[in-house]
Amino acid sequence: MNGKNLFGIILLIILGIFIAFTSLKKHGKTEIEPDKLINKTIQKTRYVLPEEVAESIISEDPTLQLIDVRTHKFYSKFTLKGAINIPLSELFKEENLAYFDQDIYKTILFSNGTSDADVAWILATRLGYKNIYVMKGGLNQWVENILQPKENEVIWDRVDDQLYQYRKGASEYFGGKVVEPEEGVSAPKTKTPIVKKGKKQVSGGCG
Amino acid sequence: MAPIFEQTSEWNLIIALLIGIAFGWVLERAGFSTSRKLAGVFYGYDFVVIKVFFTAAITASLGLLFLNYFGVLDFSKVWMPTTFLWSTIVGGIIMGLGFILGGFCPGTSVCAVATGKIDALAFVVGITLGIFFYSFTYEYLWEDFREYGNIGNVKIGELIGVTEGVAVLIFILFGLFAFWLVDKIKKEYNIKDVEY
Repeated sequence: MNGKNLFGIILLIILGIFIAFTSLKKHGKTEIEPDKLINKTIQKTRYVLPEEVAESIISEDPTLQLIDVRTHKFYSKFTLKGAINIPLSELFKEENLAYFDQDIYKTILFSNGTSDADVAWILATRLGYKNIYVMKGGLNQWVENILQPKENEVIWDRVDDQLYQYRKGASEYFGGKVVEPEEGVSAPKTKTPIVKKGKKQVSGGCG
Repeated sequence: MAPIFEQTSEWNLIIALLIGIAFGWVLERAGFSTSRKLAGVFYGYDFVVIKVFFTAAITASLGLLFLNYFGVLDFSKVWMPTTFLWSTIVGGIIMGLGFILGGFCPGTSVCAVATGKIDALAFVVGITLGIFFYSFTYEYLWEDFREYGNIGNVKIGELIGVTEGVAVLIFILFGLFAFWLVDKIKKEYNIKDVEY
């Protein structure tokens, strides 16, 4: 047996022993356990409000990734600014899963209501993808809160008022209806700045 | 992440062509385009076939597991054919007989045709006729038999209850034993290497 053969034999045995102590790695996302999934599902923190989404869009948050899980038909009619369309039925396409398989973006799913986005959230979470949220109430809530905000009949406190003002501002930004105060409801009195009148200047006349 | 190209990719044929050229070239260089060298393993005067095929199998299995270990290859995406035990045994017997009689296996026969060997050409014509015969009589003769002994997508490791890595180690040791054995036979019977 010459040296070259011996080297080959030893190398093969070393490689073989090394690989014998390893186990196959699964590269695909491993599904999380059902009890853990339930724990995650009941967390309210997985929801974001339309106002928060609006704020992120307006401030051009670079970490925001909006995913519209409705059909292409609905998507082509109306969607949120910058949203990607991944219909629920196409969620598991490899090129679509790539949008979920990252940890840079805050992925927000939305549909018309909450349920389709919720289903997508559960499936994606079950596959082990992270940083995924659902827009609470979906586009219906978006229209109600952002595009056509109603003025509360009674504004209970400062926070409510701020929220309303915010919604009104967002509505203008997104081109929704600007709500004017309804008839009969007196508009809140706004202070008008008092401009002090200066001394009248003498102008001409018979002096 | 391997596979580098999706199965439906238009690159498939191009990649297949390049791999085919490389494979043919290696076969030819290893002397596998001559039926005397190939049939030699059955007559006991040339054992290169055993060495080459064991080396290829060991390299491939080690390569697959190491690529998986380093996260390059996703094992779940590696296609594995279903094992039909009985039809495979019968197919193996037919293949073995053909190998001894003709002196080629399908791949090496095509390689030998490329070098202009008449016997290889006859072999390829025979293969083609066999393929047509099988295809046209499949429904009447072979369909039921083909499914015989279906044991699913099993690996040797699973069958004997060890991990893939251990199965490969056993295979390496078995291969090394085979190398040693054929060398011993050659020495024992004073078989000289032949140039074809």
